[in-house]
Parts: sequence; C-alpha cells; structure tokens
Amino acid sequence: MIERADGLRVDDSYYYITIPLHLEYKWAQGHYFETFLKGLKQGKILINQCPSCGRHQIPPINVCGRCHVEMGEWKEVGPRGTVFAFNIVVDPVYDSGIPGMREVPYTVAHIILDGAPDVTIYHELEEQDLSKLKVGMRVEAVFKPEKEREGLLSDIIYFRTVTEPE
Amino acid sequence: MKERVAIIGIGQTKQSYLKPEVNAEEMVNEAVRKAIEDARLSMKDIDAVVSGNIEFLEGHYQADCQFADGFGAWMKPGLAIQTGGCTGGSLVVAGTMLAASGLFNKVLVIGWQKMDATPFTGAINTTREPIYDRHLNVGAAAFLAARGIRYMEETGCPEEIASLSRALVSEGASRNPYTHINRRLTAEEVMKSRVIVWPVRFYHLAPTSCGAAALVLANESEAKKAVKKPVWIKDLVVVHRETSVYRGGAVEVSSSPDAVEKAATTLFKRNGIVNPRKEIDVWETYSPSSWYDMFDMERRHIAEKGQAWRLIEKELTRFDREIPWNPSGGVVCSNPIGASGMLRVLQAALQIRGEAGGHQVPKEVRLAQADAYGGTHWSEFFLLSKYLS
Amino acid sequence: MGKRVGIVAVYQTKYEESKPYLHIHDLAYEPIKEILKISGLKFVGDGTGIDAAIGASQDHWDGYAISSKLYQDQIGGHLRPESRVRGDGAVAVFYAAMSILSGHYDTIIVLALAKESQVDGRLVESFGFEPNYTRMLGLDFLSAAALQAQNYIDKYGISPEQAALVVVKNRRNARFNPVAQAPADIEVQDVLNSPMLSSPLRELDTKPTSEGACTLILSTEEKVKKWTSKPVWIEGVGSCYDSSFLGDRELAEPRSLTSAALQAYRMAGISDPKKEIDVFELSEYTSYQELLWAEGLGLCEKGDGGKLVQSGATEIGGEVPINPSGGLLSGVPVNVAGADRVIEAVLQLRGEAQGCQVEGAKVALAHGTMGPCGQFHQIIVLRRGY
Repeated sequence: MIERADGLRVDDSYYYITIPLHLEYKWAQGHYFETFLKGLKQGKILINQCPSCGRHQIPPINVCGRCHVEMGEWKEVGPRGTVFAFNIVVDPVYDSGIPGMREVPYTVAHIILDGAPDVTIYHELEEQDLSKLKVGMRVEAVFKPEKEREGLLSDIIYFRTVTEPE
Repeated sequence: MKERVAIIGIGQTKQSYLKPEVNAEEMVNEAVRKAIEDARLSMKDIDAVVSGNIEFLEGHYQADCQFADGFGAWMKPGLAIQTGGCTGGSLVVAGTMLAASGLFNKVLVIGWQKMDATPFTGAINTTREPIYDRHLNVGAAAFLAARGIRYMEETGCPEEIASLSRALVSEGASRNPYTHINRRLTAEEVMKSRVIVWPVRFYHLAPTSCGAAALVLANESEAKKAVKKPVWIKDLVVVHRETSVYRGGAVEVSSSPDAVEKAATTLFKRNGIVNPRKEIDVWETYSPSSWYDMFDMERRHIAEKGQAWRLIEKELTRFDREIPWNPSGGVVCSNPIGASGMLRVLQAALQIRGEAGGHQVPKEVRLAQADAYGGTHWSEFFLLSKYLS
Repeated sequence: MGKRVGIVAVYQTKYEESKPYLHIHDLAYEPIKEILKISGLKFVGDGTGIDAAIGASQDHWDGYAISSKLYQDQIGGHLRPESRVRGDGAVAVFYAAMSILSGHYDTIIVLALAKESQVDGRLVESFGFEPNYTRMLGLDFLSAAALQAQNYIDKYGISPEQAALVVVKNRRNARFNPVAQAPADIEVQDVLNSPMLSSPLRELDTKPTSEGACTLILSTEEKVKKWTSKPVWIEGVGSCYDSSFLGDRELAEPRSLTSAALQAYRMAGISDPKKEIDVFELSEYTSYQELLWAEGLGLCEKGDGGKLVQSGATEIGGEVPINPSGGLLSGVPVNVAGADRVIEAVLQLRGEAQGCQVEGAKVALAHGTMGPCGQFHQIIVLRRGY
C-alpha cells in the first residue's frame, strides 16, 4: 500500500496495467530521400547542396533551413571520411525496430565525409575499442554486397578504420 | 506596448521515477489544485487553460481533451502546445500571450509528463528520423557525449568538472523536497556512477521522471489584485532552429549560430543587462546534462568561451555562492519533460518570492533567468522580475 | 476586441486520399512556398516580414515524437520564434491571433498538415480515450460518433435520409471547389447504400481519409491594410472543452460548442447569428455532426437540424449556407480541418470562392473541433474589411 499526496491509499497490486501501443507507419519518402536511398543501393552516398550558401545536407531534404531556398545540386561524397565525434553505447537500449533490447556495445560516430566538410553523417564504426578510437581518425564506408542492399541506411554496414599515408 | 503579465499562482507535484499511486489526470490535478489554492482563487476564476506534454511518449492522443476534467478545463477555453523538450517553456509563452491579449484575465498553464508509462529510450527514439537514424538507438545520451568530448578537446576542461558541477547542483537539490533525485552527491560519487555513453555517466544525465507543474498567469490589473506578490514575466524570447542542424549531426561542424546564445543575447540586450553574471540573481536553466553546464554558462555570457569550467572548478555555481546555478537541482535532478521547462520558470518565481525553502538563495532575488530547451536546439527564455519597473 | 487581427494571405494544397510521392517535408513546403509568393513576404523579423510561425500537427499521425521537427526548415524556423499547437488548425489560428494581440509579434504564418494515409487513423484515435476504461472497450472516434448519431436519432427523431442530405449537399458543393478531394454528384440513395461502418454511420456519412496542408498569414490591422487590398478581420473567437467521458456529456447537445460560439458572438457583436452571419464553414466529421453543430451554433432549435437541411436553408443560396466548400465530408485532413475552414471563410469574404461563392458574404464563421464527438470546439468569426 502507498499513501498518496491527497491522503488516499493505493494497493500495489493495482499499480500498473500494461497497455500495448502498436502503430504501424508507412512513410512516404519523396524525391529527396528517394534519391539518397537509391544512391545507397548503388553503393554511393548522394547528398545535396544549397545553391545560396553552399551548405550540404545529410540526409538531403527539399529546402535549406537557413537560406530558405530550394536545394539543388546533387553530388556523390565519401565513401571515406574523418571521425568528428564518437561514442560507444554500452547501456542496453530498447530498439523499437526489433522490438526488444539491442545488443551492446556498438560504436556510433559523426563522420565528415570527403567532399562535404561542413556536415556529418551519423553511422556506426566497426571499431569498438575505446583506446583505438580517436577524433580525426580516417574511416571508410563498408557497403553490403550489391545483391543484399535494400535501399536503406543499413546498406552501409559500418565505417571501418583505414590507414592512409601522411 | 505589451500588456504585462505576472505569475500569481504556483503548484507542483513531487517528481519521481515512478508515480504508481496516481494516473496522469490525478497527478496533474494535484498541481492544478495547488496552483489555484496558492493564488487564493477557485477554478471558476480561471479564464483559459493551456496544457501540454510530449503525448507520443505515453501514447495519449489529444491528452488535453482526454484529461480535460482533471485539468480544470471543463467548459473553459484553452489549447494544447507541444514543442518537445521546450514544451514547458512554450506553454508559459502561450499562457503569457493569452493573458496579454486582452481577452483572458487569468490563465492556467499546465505542463506534465508521466514517464513511468513507457520504456524511455525506446520512446525517445521515436524523435529520430525513422529511415535515417532511428535504428542507431542511441537516445539523448549520445548527443551529450559527443558534445562533452568536443568541449574537453577544445578547452582543456578535465573530465571531473562535469561531475563536480553535478555535485554542486545536488547541494540545492538535496534541500528541494519536490525534485526527483534529491540526494546530496560528492564529485567522487558522481565519477563512480556507471558510464552510459562515455564520458557521460549516470548522474550527469537528466533522469526519467514523472511530475506536473501548474502556474496561474494574470494580466497587470489582475496581478496587482493578487493576494501574494506577483512575479512579473518581464520579457520572453523564443528562438528555434531548423531541424537539419541535427539531422546533419547534433555536433555542428561549421561554425553556426547558436539558438541558446541568440536567445540569451537578445533577452539581455533588450532589457539593458550588460553583465549577466552580476545582474541576474538566480539561474534556472534547462541544462539536460552536467556536460551542458559549461556551454550553457558560456552561452549566457556568464563566462568567456572555454572558461566556464573554471567557475565550476572554483565552486562558484553552488546555490549559496556567487552564481546560483540551478538551485532547485535543475533538469539533471528531475526531468518530467513536458513540465521541465515550466519547472524552471516556477522555481525562479519561487526564488523571487523568497518561498523556495531550503534552496532559497541567500540574497534578495530581483531578477531571475529561466528557460526551456529542446527539439533541435530550440529555446524559450524568460526574464522574471520582482518589481514591475 | 480592441485591436484587430487580419488575414494577409491564404493557401491550400489540393486534398487527396494519399500523396505517396511527397515526404512530409515536401507536403509542408508547398503551401509555405506559395503563400510567400502570394504575399510577397519573407522570413525576416525586422518588422517588414513574418515574425513567427505556428504549426498545427500531432505526433500520432506522423509516427514521430515532436513531429514539428518535420517542417522546421520549411517554416523558416532558423533562429526565429516558432511554436506548435498540438491539435486542430483553427486553434493555431486562434493562438496566432492572441500572439498578435499580445503585442509580442506582428505577423505570423500558420501551417497545418497531415498525411492520414500513413497510419490506421481509427487506431490513432482510439488512443484518444483514456487507457484503463474507455480505450479497453474498443472505442474510437468513429464508434463514438456513431453513439452520438444514434443518441441524436433517438432523442429527436432525426432520420438517416436527413443526414444523407448533408452528404449530398457537401459532396455536390465540392464540385466547385478546386482543392476538394472527393466532389461527387450523388443522391440520398447512394449514401444509404454505402457500406455500414458503425451503425448508424455509413461510409459516405464519414470524412474520408485525406492528405494535404494549408497556410495562412495573419498580421496587425495596420500591416494587413498595407499588404492587401482585400483585408479580412478576425472579429470574434471562442473555444471550450467539455468533459472527456462520453457518459458525462449530453452527446446530442453540444454545450461546449454553444459556449464557444457565444464567446465569439459576444466579441463580434452578433446577437442573431442566423441573420448576421452569411456563411458557415464547419468541421463535420460525420453527416449527423453538421446538423448537431448547426443546432449548437443557434441556427435552429434543438432537434431541428434535420428540418434545417431539408428546407434547403444550408445550401449555397439558402439562409444559412453551411460548408459551401464541401466541408470535411468531401475530404479534408485532420489538423488541417479547422484551418481550412478559416481559409474557406476568407475566400468567401473576399469573393474568391468561385462556384461555391455565397453572394455578398460579409461575415463568416469557421469552426474546428477535437476530441471524440466534438468535445472541444474552436470558433472564429471573420468579417470582410473592404
């Protein structure tokens, strides 16, 4: 039993009743996302650029939020890039996609792709050893074999560490 | 000329991880009744009810309608607002607008969240783009971690500072009976708490909380008739950001304007505040992690860029020292999301009234800054004042 | 109202059952881009442009917590004031008007949008019932509206034929509305032959699934006069919540609608709405609701809604034209519904409603509603200003 702020008492066997909330959504992708996802299927990272301020956007959308003009130019960037920030997820996290708890650890990172220095792509790193992770390290997108690609973000398995001559 | 608006009634529930003894409507009702009572009014004196939470986290569709009776909205005008983490701030903005419109004398504003209804990280993940990054399942901690790492890299701030900052706010929190985590913590204890996403530790993060807050706002003529001394909402500033800042990374690569900084700068400039560190008597800020405290002090011009961690190092930010930084304990001690932004305003108002209790700062509070933060760096800033002019 | 708030410009997308080719980003951008073009205004906060933005959307429809993030870039949310009404677009218009009256902002853009076909709407609306009791009984807004319709039939002897006349009128009116989703030259029998969904409501008695968006720009009296030669003023507003439990309400007597309407009438100085208001744009999610709302607004006696539609008074040429645009029964998305009613009212007052035009309309009433069976109502009364 627990006493409430208003003095009433509540029986703990009536505390919670589980009520599942299950909604399924089908998401319209539109021209911009579609182009991006089709690119992934072909093993390419395609993004767009603001004709006014030159800013890139990942994922691409229809308008530059700062200049409020329509995004135009498409360009292929990566697959190599530089780690801008990273973190290792060690606390088990509920994954609404499974649904269930996701296996840990895994490393997620913001990566500046070659060809788009002003924006990051958010994805996973192969490396899970904290001592080997560094801001500024060079990485490369590893795509699934062509036949297994679905036109989703998961077509990139992760980014793996690459060593490049200085 | 804007009609001036004041806070004349204050109510909040105890905030906690679970609130099994009440349902959402009952929980909100407690805060509502306290606010009405505090203003020495009855429900029939209220002209409109503004309410909000992040409804998708609990599953209630049109929660304002669903709980209209408990909210006291029955047969009254009103509206519901939802702007994510800054919902609490947006609600106070909406309440202020209504009270200043000339059509409503007294407006009841309600913010609430009952997070025991849902697995939190799974729910907060629905704030992510479903195709682009929802599968990464990182919740809010990852953004904060990335920020923290950058701050250490750029300023030389030692890892322990965030833990010290957390310990300093716990001094106030331990004296605030309403806050969720009101344990007094040492920096060592915080450092020993488990790593969520390095360098973010358990105690660095805003907890998952249930709770409700309610305020009664009144226009100038009504406020002057109020039983308790009104707390004036001297000014407010709303600055939102486009979403692509976050889609392209919570960490922004190119130097880009900062919404929090713009809101703070605008607010201070408009009100002739030249030296915020000296002129603002209390800060109640929506800093969602101890790793944000340094940024947030710098963005509010309390310290130069890269220098705020030194104020924390000198322990100047404790509730009874020079810069009372979140004397209530702030968002890291309690985070019922839809109420959090409002609780900042509420706590600042209590400080101005001198009714904060154990965490009352030991000086006259004339001016207080409170704010809400959420979404993709959205900010709602308030300047509260003891005196009308 | 002391100071006045007016409408600078409006824009609606075409409403369609589904727009699978548009991301919500794209859906939001079209009416924003177009209204900027029409008004010639820009997102600049120096007094010469749009100061702030208010959206109307709901996370449940978007499958996205804080779903206002889906249009921040499009609505000019870069370092500027923005807010989101969680609900109907008419409420967003109301909030925009209050913000302008408060003196904090001069000019506000309002956006309302929904992509209903992306999720099972009836399931979404079932979450509108509190979880322990009524949700477990399997109620959704449709079955609740059916209870309401049956209650209305039992209490006042309204017939399915009378309700069907509403559908026939609205779907026919929609033939002249270029943005309408489902114009149709139908007869009463078509309605009565359509599949039963939840008795007594048949498919054609209910609002079809719909997608689309709309925008409005509101401003102060001074600026509206400067920016448009056809100003329309918001003269009265009113809103009201009723109880949440259906059992606590008289479903066939929308008292919260009456309360909201009286607030707006008083503000606008209207004593006889039937005579003084020339056109009504109502949010009828079912055919029976249009009759009920007409009663709640005081356009006829209680229980006379059926006779009102039979008399032809609610036709475009009638005494109290209701939904000359075709209304919700011709397909308007949730969230957009109330804002679209305001826009249709504005078009009428400007004489721009094309084939739906009510000749010489000077005063119009727009209505939005939320919650099951019209628990909450928002009324906006508008007047032609030229």
